[in-house]
Amino acid sequence: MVARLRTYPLALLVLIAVGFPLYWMLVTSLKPQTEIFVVPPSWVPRTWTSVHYRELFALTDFLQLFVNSLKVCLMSTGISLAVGTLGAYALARCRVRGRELYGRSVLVAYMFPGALLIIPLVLLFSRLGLTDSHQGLALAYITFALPFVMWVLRGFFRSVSVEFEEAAMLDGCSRLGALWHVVLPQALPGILATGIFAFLFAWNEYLFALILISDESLRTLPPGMMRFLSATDVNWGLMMAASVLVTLPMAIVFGLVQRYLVTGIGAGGLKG
Amino acid sequence: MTAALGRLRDRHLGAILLLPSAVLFLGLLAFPLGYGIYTSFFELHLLERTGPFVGLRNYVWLLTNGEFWSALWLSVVWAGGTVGLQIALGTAVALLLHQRFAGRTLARGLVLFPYMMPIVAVVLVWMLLYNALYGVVNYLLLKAGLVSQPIAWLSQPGSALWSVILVGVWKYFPFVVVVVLARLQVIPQELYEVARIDGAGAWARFVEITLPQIKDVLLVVALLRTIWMFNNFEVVFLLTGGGPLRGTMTLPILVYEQAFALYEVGKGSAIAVVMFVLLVGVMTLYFRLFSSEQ
Amino acid sequence: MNRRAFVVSASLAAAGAALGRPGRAQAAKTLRLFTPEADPAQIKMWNAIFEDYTAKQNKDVVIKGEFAKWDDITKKLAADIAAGKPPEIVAGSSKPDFVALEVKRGLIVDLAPVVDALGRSDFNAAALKIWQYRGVQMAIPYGSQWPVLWYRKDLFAAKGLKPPVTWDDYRAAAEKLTDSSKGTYGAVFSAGRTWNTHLMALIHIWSAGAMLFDEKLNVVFDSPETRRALTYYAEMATRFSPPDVGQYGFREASAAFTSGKSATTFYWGRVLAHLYAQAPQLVPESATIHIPRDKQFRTTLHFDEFYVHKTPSTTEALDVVKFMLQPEQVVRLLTPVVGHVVPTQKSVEPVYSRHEWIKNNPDIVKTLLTPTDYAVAPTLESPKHPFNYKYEVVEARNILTDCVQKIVLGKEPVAKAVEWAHKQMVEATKDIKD
Repeated sequence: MVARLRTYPLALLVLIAVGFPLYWMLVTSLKPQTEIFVVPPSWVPRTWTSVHYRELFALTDFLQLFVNSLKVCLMSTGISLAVGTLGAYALARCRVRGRELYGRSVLVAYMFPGALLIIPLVLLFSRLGLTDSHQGLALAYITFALPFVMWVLRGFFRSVSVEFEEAAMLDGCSRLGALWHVVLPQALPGILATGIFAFLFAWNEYLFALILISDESLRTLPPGMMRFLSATDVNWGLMMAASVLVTLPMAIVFGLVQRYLVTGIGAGGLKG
Repeated sequence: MTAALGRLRDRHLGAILLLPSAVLFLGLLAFPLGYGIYTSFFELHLLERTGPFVGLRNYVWLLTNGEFWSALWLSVVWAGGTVGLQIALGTAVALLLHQRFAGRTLARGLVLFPYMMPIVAVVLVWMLLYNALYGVVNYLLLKAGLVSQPIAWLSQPGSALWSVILVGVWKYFPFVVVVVLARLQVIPQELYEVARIDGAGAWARFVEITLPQIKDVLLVVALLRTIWMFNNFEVVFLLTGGGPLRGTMTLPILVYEQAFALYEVGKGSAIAVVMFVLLVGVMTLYFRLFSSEQ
Repeated sequence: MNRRAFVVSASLAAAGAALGRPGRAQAAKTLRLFTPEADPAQIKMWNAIFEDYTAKQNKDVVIKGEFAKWDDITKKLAADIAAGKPPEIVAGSSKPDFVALEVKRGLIVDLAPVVDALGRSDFNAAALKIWQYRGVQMAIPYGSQWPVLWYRKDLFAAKGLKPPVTWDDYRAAAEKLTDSSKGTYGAVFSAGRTWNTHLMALIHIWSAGAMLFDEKLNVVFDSPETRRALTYYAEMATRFSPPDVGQYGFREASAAFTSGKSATTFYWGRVLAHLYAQAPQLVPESATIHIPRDKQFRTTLHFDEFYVHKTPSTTEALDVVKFMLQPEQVVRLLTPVVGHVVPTQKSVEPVYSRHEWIKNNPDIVKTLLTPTDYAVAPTLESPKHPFNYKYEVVEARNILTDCVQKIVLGKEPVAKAVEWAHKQMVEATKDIKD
């Protein structure tokens, strides 16, 4: 459909509604504290300053929080992808008994409320010594990453044409070989996209990270950043600098794989 | 012979491939779920190891407790409000982005940003925007003459829920955009050509062609988003903590308050179980509607 | 990247992350110091002192700071205690009521020997007494503090106003200073569900002549004076305070003043540090006086203190505390928030009062640093009261705060809200024994 004249102003409106908070976040992080409080607000900073970014690293444990988050999210995403890819393939291709039930359970599990799981998880983990550990938190993240990965990838694998696999198997490939040589390459964009989403959900997660870890040196970014909102000072510049930096990884990653996302989630994830 | 062998190996192979995920499912999801249900029949303090069995007392407590019903109502309003607006806004934006115009790719990329922004960053920015003393929202409203005094969006009982809903819509509507846009792209263009030749206007084309085509997808999205918004803890909690005066105290926050602020784990579990039962009801609805899923 | 590389690198990432837990240095003992005194400048200062201790006093001890938010202190401590891992040292909690609970459970080390080792005569006796319970010196206070009224001399002068002394003065002044269309306000009466609200409401109830508990520790909250105080409080919160005051705690009460939006605020001396950092141009325009009174001047008395949990590292912890209470360290502790705290040790005073901020700002520091007898600790509402071990639960359950919110946000009649709060307090304290 070719655009009408009215499309442009509408598109602009949407972009402003979506983009302004992002712009404001960025711009506030580069303004001095005194200018942040000023009314009318300064749409473009009159004075540019990097003090908030410097203070973020000099005065807070932001770097440690970042590293902690990275560790936990890589762990949970890695395990979920490894285990979930195999499981999704089995659900899509192999005639396993109880496949339908398993498929339904995946979906149901994906919709568990965090509020429902957190209580038994914290009780169980504290008995198993898994609280205050990155491994424990990664395990907790697998509770939503794994069902998500399996659910989306099952759709992907189904969308990969069976003929290629069967051709490969007729050529003497085992099922696993077909998976490795034929299916995975085709599904790789989908796997990547799914992994990125799984990473994203883990990166942004707050409740489990708040409750399952109380040792501040193991703290991840989301509850750590809320802790910056110190009880005795309002440092919006610092908070916005932290917000920019916590958003940046996802922004970069999304920018790079954007192409896959629309097709990936649209086609593979929600067929029918 | 080879075929039979192939099938046999297939079933075993499938079982082996599914084993790791099955173990994780059982250990991390099924067992904790069972344990959570089990806990709801006890009176347990968070910092103690054990507590007395009290049967259905926690459930009776929550059914007769005004706070529970209030939280349920707020959860329904929150989920219904955010999802309704997400679908409306998301569909509209998807239609917009389906058209060909310069910078469309950029626009499509930008629209995804709220969805992938970490919730803490979203909350902090919106707290600043909503600020009654130096926030942009109040400044613009005052400048436009729409209000005579700045509004305390998040701290007045009247406005807090809708302020929070607005943030929930802003953050999650791109999901709807992506899904609807993908679906729009497979609608054959000829349908529109024919309709245009027949003289149908834009609205008619939308209602008669687009809507039936995307209806299924919209229903799926609506159900999914309802479940996810109903479960959502962070957006409301980080913006208002359930206040002011419990005016945004949705069910997940009530669970959190019972278990982690009042240390009443049994009661918290009971509320969570009720939430789960409600969600199972919604999921059953989903499966009923899409039993053709193969 | 081809599939193989992708899979291999992904597995390596997962494995590497799983295995890469930092090892603990075997030789050094790690002590945890838990504190809410955590402005960024203070965190820097704590870490510097910790490093000094390890370098100069005891190479085998490493101190790790745990920095918490004010409204989370008791929750975090309770969780740590329940997990069997209480922090070795706690600094600056300002909650004698909570620490008393810990004394009851036998968790606290008696610090009387440390006081004697440092020289009992150096310490303010009254301050030490507030931290004595059941014959135990449960904590050693190194500083005391109380909130005052901060006001803008320039804004007052512009309207021809004198600094307010009574509630009527304050009401009249606030009215003249409030112009909501310009976004400027005359007062900040916090009404968030926060500790700040609780303390400010308490000050006003005391000022009207009422109390929470009588000398026999019965709840006497509902009284004509209390109702009068909360009516005044609600009026000031609704008419002359910023519109989002229903969310205010310590953070916002200070920010309203330092951002120039409000001509006055109730706060402790920490505002001075915030002004220097964020609005230095307002420092010469600011001054403090006592919080305006009804029948009598009142304000709350709190302390920064050290206390020590009974742990396997008690000996080391006591040595750290002794080190921290040397005048040199105490001055370092107080420097990031000069003006906020009055040292309890006579040996610290001379160094402290030589600080530039104190010398340059007499109008600000006079009220903050001159001890008065109307700064009252909530656990000892009068000299005739015994240590109030019931006060803790009223504070923990936010009963007074909820009462204020019901009136200010919920627009409930004062009498109804006060009756409700009184019932809640009676219910909450009825089973508590000494």
